[in-house]
Amino acid sequence: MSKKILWIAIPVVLLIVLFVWFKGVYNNMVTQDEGVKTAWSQVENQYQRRLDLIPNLVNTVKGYATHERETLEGVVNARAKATQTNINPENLTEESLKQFQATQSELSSALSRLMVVVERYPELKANENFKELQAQLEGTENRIAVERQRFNEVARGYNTYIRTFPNSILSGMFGFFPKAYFSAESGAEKAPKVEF
Amino acid sequence: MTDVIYKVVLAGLLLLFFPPGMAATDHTVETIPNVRLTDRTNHVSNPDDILSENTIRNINMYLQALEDSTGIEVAVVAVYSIGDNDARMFATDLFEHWGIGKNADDNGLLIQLVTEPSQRSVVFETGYGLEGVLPDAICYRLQQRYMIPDMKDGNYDSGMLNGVIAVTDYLLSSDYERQAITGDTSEDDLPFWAAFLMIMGFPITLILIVLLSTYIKHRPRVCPKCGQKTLVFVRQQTIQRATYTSEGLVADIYRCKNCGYTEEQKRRTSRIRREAAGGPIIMGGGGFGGSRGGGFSGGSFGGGRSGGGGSISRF
Repeated sequence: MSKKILWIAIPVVLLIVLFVWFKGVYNNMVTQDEGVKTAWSQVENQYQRRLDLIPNLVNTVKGYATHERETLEGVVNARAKATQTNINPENLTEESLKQFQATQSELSSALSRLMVVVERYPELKANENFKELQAQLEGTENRIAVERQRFNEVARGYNTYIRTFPNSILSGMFGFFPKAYFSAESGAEKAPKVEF
Repeated sequence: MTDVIYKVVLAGLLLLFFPPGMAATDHTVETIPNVRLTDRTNHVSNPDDILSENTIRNINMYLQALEDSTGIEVAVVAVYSIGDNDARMFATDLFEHWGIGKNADDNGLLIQLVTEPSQRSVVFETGYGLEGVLPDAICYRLQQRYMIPDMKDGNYDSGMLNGVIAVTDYLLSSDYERQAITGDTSEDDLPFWAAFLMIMGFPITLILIVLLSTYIKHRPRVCPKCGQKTLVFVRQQTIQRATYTSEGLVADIYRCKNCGYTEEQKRRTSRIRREAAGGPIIMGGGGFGGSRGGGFSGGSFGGGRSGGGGSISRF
């Protein structure tokens, strides 16, 4: 009699334990996945802020630096390209992030070329409007750096969680894939050193 | 001879271990003392004695008043050197490390001064919650207008104090006053006459109406008796006073200056209205909500976060 009860009780207890574990791990993964998406949207916001600043900047520079059409066009084209490259947060793969980063860093280098050119126009540099735009751009670059770093931190936490055993069994089953990181500045992103 | 060599070597060794200009250490985020931990009314961290006691007292007065009325937490840091760190990123890290601003509002502001010649700069680092009120361009404008002129002359005390006052004023002001603080004269400003009309339009109309109606009443009319245009308003006579319950009756008396003909025009006046009745209005409910938890007790910042907003002015 008591043996029969044992045969029923053991699987039931096992099932309950398994369920509790499943629930905990699964919900944790969902929470962390959402966290990564939030961090990503912050990154995108800041890049968008930069895109929004550029038309204003180009117009201001245009008024003074009349001989720099090529550089200005470089910025406008790079901006257009960067506007088109968007990532669905569901699809933060290495490849898509690399592409995103490539177009954005192209824009960064076009911008820094513009900032070098600007040095030749003291009147433009003294323009209040331009100085403020420059301050805004600087602030935006800083924000981008901060949000990228935070994204990487959150993504690292998520990746570690889904890839460690035994969570890795569940993540594979339910389709939680590792997220890509922002790679370190490739050199194009950094402001160029002006040498005389 | 050996004495000289000995001295030169000694001097060389001294230079090697204590190079000039290293009097103050290169600060890292960890080595800058968070003075708020020991005294939560102290907002100024000044490990290299760049600011004077007096300035710090003044700054604290302004910043405490700001914090009491708005909850915005402002920290001021003045250091000599931060090594090779980028001043902007350093401010972001320090902000994060201290957690300036309330946790729920992220309403912190860090004002950082670095005086080492190669890094000389003022940085405003705004928390997420302050980015809207204090956009980068405004930070930059306040720095340029109130801080940089003095700081360029090495007058860090007045530069910092002016900056703190400007920021406090700005945060406590209405939109209208803010334009004056930042010296904003944007092109979409109304021309003077339009602004004048907007403000004075209503009173002017009222005055015109009153003038017009008195003119109509007092202008000479044609006298029905002698036909001259000499019939004028003389006075108003109350026949029956208006009360709370009934209308009154008054007569406007007109007299002809030429022939002495008088005319009365009776008209009713409206009842007197009672003032809106009601019990005495009880003001109050003030209470003593905002105790600061003891004058000199310490406390950390609220745990606010910054997204890297703000601006830097190098000089």
